[in-house]
Amino acid sequence: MNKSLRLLIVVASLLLLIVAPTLTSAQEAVSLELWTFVNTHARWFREQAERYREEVNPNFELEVVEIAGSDLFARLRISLQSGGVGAPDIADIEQGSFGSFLRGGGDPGLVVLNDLLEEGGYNEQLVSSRQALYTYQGNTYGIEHALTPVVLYYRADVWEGAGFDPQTFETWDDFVGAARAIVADNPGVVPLPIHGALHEILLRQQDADYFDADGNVTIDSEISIETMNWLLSLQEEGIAAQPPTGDALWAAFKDGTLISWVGADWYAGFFKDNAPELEGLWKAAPLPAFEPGGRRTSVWGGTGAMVVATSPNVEAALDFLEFAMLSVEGNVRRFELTNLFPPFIPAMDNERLHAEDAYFSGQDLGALFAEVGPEAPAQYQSPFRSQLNDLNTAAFQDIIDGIRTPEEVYTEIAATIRDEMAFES
Amino acid sequence: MANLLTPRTRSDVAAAGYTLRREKSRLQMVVETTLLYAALFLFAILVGIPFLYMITGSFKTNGEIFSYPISLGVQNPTTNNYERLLSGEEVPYLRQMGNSVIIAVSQTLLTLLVSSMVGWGFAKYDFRGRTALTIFLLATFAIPFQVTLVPLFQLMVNVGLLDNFLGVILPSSLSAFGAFFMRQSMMSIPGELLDAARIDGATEWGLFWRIGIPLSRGALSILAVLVFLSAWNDYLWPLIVLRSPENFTYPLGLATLHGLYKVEYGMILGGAFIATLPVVIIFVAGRKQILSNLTIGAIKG
Amino acid sequence: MFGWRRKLAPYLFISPFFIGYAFFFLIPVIQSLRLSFYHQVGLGAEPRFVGLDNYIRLFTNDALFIKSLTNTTYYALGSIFIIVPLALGLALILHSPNLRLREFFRLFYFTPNITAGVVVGIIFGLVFEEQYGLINNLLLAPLGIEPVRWLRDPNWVMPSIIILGIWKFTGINALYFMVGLQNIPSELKEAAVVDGATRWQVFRYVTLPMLRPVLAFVLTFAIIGSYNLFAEPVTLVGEVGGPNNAGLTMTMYLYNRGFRELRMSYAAAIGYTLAIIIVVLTVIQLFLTRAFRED
Repeated sequence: MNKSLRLLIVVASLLLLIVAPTLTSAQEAVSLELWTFVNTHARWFREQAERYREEVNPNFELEVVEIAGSDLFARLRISLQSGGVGAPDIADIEQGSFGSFLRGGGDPGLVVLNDLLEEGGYNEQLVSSRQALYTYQGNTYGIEHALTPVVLYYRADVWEGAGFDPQTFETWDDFVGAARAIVADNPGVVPLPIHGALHEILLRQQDADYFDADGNVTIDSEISIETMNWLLSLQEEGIAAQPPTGDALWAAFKDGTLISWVGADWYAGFFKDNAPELEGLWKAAPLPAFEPGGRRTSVWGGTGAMVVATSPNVEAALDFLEFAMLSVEGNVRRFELTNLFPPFIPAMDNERLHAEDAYFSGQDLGALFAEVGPEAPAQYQSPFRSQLNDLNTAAFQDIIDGIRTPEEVYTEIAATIRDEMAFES
Repeated sequence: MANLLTPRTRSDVAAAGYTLRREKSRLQMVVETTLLYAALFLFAILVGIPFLYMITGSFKTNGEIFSYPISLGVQNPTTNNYERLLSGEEVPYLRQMGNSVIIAVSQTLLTLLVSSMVGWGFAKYDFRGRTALTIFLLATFAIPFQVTLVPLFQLMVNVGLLDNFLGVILPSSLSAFGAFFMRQSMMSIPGELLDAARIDGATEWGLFWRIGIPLSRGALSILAVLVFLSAWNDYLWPLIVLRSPENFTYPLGLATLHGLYKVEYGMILGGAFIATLPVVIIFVAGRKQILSNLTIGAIKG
Repeated sequence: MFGWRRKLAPYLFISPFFIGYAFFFLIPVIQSLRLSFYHQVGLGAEPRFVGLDNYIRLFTNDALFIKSLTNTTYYALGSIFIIVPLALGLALILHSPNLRLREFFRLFYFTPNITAGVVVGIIFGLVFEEQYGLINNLLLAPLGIEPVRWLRDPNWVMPSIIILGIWKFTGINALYFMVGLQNIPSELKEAAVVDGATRWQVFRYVTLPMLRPVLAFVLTFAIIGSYNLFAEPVTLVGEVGGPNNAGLTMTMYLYNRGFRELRMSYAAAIGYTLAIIIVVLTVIQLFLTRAFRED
């Protein structure tokens, strides 16, 4: 072969080598790290990564690290405090802990998602009130995983056996009336357990909360005090009572003491897990409203997926997050794995979310959640939420035991929090 | 006749001392002994029930764990918890156990060595600054770990020991507890013994290694159990230092089973039970050492 | 001739420990001590120097801190006056050479320290429960005593925690005492018996004095352990310490302030206040047991 031909071949091969990669895959390798504390989320994220590889970028890698609950937040905070060393690209943060990331008025170290949500038109597709949990001073930092619609779980055999159908209770007055009758015939039975979160659930049902949209403390508002007083009056009548905690709670369910429970969709899982012998005896209904035509659900809990600002792969992380969390397939699949109803409206009537649940007497819980879901009220975030919750928890027993009035307690708590707010600014 | 609370002796004179105590009737002795054993048993059972519950609970489903009344019996025993745990699908348990073994053993050996060295130094030598250092040591031990957590983490980052077993082992091997424990034990080794050995030409290190360590076998065994236990169950510090799941120790893995929406009690109990086995083995195996009475008495005699 | 080697030896023996200590402990301690004189809240906020403000605020304007202090002291007293004597008694019994099944007992008394926290939570939650609880139903009811609201009545929360402490720590403290008892030469006791001493006198004049170093050790770590108590109260009554924070210990308060509310500098101040209290108490205790006097 002559020299110039050889040269031509070499140059051509070199050119080909340079051009070739762009001909095959135009995608660069992306490797993300994600932290979560919910192991069903972990499985879901891994599956979504798989789907992402198939549909978008075959060079995508996601390492999912599972860390237990509050430890994840501690670890994340420590990393963020050290300039982001060891921090992941994406993290699941529970709504109760998210508040403290906002503490100190400084930057929580998370990426603001307003643009992403606006541009994709997602704000209309998500039950927007849920996003309030991850929004502070106009900036939204997270995308909600779970709608957490609160419903009334009840012992169908007991209520129906007494001639009542909670599905028809329009207002709490209807509920109370029926409850009185049941308690008269079955002393010792508790129609309304006053668990630690009930008060705030009921407040939210009435469009109130412990904080308002601007971050002011509202636990000492009229409606808050009234609601608690109402619960106490029910307790006096023998209709409501404080349930036991821990193992004994399930004992109280199993021996028929507790005949209903105000809880979110995720509570169904606990029933099935811990009280399998009660299968087929329970049903779920929308919450009775406070006035006719009023809201029939509330919210309790929630976990948001967030992107860490110190991540070197923010764009890639946002892209993946959008793919997984803001798609119908992603939301539906997550429901199948976690049983948590999604806050994504286009996914809500997907048939995979609707099945007959044997535990709940064959009821289609998905239909119930889809029905009340869009009404879900907002829960406002505040850097002081966890501190307020701590104060409230410690004082709860005093209120239940009648040692101090709700007014006394809530006024004191509000004053303390306002003090702290002042001290920190 | 001897009962539990009478010191046993070998000399005849002492035997005569028993006759002095014949005021107690035989019946009284039997009753005393029975009551004592009964009390010991009762206490043992009360104390051990949670442990037994952990064992039987690992063979139950969540529903049965939460049955009332709580019972040690198992209605529908299932090995499902263990199957899921050991399959490594939900939690890479076996791998994490392996990591725990490496870390705990290394930490134990290192702590024993360093503690006995520093205990020896404090116990057997009178040097300038000894009292001051003792108080200083005590003082720094009084500081709660959470306070130094963040700066220590940053230090680990700076020296590059993040996500590294050494990052877990090294800081944890500095045990003021171990130092004091060994000091207490070594204090009872007579100075004359050491002086005699010195005259025979022993080096200072030789005194430590050939006399001090063997004579402290009992204390070392106990310390080994305690340090191993502490390292084995350590949660907070490994949580902060270890980053990749393959490096996690088993408590970190088990904790993830305590989810927000679902708690895998059965698997947690199973995992916890398996984790107690190494400790129990060490405890039982070390009992000969703990029982050995190689101290002053034997030497003087 | 041995002079210089003998003089140098102690420093060589203690150096690995203290070098490590200086590096892994002293540096973080100094840094966090420094932080306690600043005001820093939240992530990435700029610290502001405030001198002794944090410390002053703790004692003048922080009811929760004072509460945690009294709670923790309450527990420490229970630890010193109930757990330690119980452990000593147990050790004496187990030390008796005539005892059979010693290993069985020893193992059983050790199990609380290897039982998973989850189990402790489930079981003791049930032990102390008002209506379904074991104590109320199996112990008090047959005796006709009213049920006690162990975990819901602020007055009973700390006693419940102390009971949990007895369960968890008696065995291990007994173990320390047993080591100490082994180091007491039996001839001393034999000699006393020969001289006509009663059991109690043997204990009082032979055993107890020889146990002094061990006693000092156990008490020291009982105090330190009590003031550092964290996991057990959280298991029983939750992170805020239950009704009226009756079970809130100082380290729980520290954790809440520092890691949940991100007031790191304030938490550091709490930590060092705690350390000072522990040191003072320990020195007093050591003085009282005259541990520095070696006979």
